[in-house]
Amino acid sequence: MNQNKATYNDTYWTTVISPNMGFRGLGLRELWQKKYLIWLFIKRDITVKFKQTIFGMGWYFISPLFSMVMYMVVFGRIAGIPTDDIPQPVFYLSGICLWEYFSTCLTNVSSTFQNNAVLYGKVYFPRLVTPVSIVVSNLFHFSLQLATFIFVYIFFVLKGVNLQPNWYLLLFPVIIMALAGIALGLGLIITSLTTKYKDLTNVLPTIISLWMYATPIVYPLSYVTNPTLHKIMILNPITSLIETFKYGAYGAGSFTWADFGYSIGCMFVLLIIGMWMFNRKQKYFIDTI
Amino acid sequence: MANAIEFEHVSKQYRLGLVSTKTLSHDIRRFWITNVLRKEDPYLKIGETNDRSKRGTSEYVWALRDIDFKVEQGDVVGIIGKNGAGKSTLLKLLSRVTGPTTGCIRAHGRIGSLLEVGTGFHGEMTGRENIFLNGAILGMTRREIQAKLDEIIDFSGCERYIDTPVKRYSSGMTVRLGFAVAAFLEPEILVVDEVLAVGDAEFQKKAIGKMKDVSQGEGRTVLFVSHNMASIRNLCKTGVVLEQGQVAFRDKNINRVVDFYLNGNAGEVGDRAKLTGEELKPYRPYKDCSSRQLEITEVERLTPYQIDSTDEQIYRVRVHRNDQSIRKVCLNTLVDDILTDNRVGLTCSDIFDIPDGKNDFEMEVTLRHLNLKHGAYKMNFWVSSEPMINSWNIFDGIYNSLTFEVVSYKDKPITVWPNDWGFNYFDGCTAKLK
Repeated sequence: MNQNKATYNDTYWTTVISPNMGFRGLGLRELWQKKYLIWLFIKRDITVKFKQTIFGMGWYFISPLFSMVMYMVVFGRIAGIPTDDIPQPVFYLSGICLWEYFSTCLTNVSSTFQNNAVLYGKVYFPRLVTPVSIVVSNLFHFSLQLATFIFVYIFFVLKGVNLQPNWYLLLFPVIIMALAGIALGLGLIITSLTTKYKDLTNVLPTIISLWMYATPIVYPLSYVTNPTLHKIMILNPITSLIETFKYGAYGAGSFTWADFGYSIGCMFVLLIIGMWMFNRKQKYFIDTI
Repeated sequence: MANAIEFEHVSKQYRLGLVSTKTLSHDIRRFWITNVLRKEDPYLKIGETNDRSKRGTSEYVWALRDIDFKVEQGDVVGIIGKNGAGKSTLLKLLSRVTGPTTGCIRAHGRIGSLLEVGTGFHGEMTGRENIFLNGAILGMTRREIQAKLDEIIDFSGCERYIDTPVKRYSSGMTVRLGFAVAAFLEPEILVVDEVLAVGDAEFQKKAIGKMKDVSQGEGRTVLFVSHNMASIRNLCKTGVVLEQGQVAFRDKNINRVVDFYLNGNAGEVGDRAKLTGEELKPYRPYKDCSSRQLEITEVERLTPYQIDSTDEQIYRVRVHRNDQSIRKVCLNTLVDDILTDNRVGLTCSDIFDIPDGKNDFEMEVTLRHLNLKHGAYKMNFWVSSEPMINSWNIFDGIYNSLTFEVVSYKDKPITVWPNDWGFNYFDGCTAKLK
């Protein structure tokens, strides 16, 4: 027995499986060890998307143009909403690209448990691998859409329209990271909440489409003149990210470090809560899903 | 040897039925009591042992209850039990697919599981791409996969198709590829659940050979679940019998474990040689459509419980005549494999005339040349007016009653097919009326 105590100390056991007990970290180290698996999932997502399609990636270049034309007709022509004196195609496309990325990530991440139940029911790997790979592989599609935006942007610059890119454009990587982080954090919270009670899955599409109208995508923030409404808009963490991008890309829109910092703060809070909830749920979700 | 795995009072509770508002009220109450009042979870105290055939009163069942044992390094442990005994739940806990409700499992070394082959295969990707993906999901590193890629492709026997999308594969090829990846996984602890029952005969042989290499040659710890007692005896050193979520038996010698399981499964009859009168009641199921014009009053085995495959067996059946108009009788005997519930053979006697005025008589059947494989069997008896292969005019039937066990093949080696035995009309068996 004594020899047992000496041999079987805590460092001997490499895996300890026990019920949930308190806070056990966010599982980031385990996630980092599995970076190769993340990479394979990303590769799978991207290759599978274009298999057996004729235009392949072409669709990702074209689809934002469809939305752009739609917005130009509905919001630009019929509703007559101004675009901060920026050519309508450039204005709408910048919003569409960022919002598309955010909403796709959020939708995909928020059904992680549901979509992977079969796989998760068979084999263990750190579950966070899947949502993280979703967010990264969506970056690929985003970059194709961004290329469309850049193309249209250059077209208007050549036409002699006065667009003023500035140093704030350097915040672009931070903006994307913040969008990804918020989508990931919120998506993890939603998927954790829906393992047992699926009510939230039914309302999520509605929430996302309403959210778009609460974000300055089809109108500039400066168009919101009511001070109370303006304050509420700023509470939406996506608002300042979109505005910052627009400000950096063509000098229209509003930017304050405070608003930007608020969005980043939101991202960290959501990420930590999301990962904590996800890690708590991952152990038992297969019993209740 | 040091311990590789320790199960410490491990239990797993499941909730039955549907998720509804009632679940919500339970959840709220549980949250209130455990998180606010900081007391013990009230729903952990209730719950019944997991007997799937009986209707219980509680919504909560214990799929596993207080599992507590240790596995040494290099051990190959067979886990056996009936359907629903908790075998797969145990392996799921160990492979971390789901967590225990209480208790703790400690393991030394990497755990790899073969719960189902081909997990995470994507139809649109080629065989080669899937090897990498599947390997990584199962926990291999990139370097390990690259080092073994050629061996894996070779083992699967799918080289020609390796750059074709997996959706074009036949189902057998998919399974081969999946097993090939899993077979080259090199964890210190391997968890295997019935994967050997796949593929064609040639591939099964390969798979079993590989399992043997892993367990015997390379000295890794293996937990193996199977209903196939032959492969359990063949591969495992020690074993555990689970019954209704609890450890019913455990021994260092796999043969004793398998014997316990087979005998335990025989139910309450065990090795009893005789069943009389009221004792026969449970062996007449309600759905039996017999007329009871003749009634079986006693069944008895006159030969030993454990026999050699070629030994003769004699059974005596006492019959009482309730209806004087019945003048002819025939005895039918059916042998079932206890483990698989497969019928292995039938024999029917000639038609005998019952002497006038004799209302209690005996019939004796001698079974010869059964040539059954190793295992436990149970007997069914019917009395009818004609042999049962001709008609179903049954007077009385005693089902799943006396048992016997084949423990050796003395005379000549018999062929044990990898599949279960098919139905067999026993030849050379005789019966007489006394």
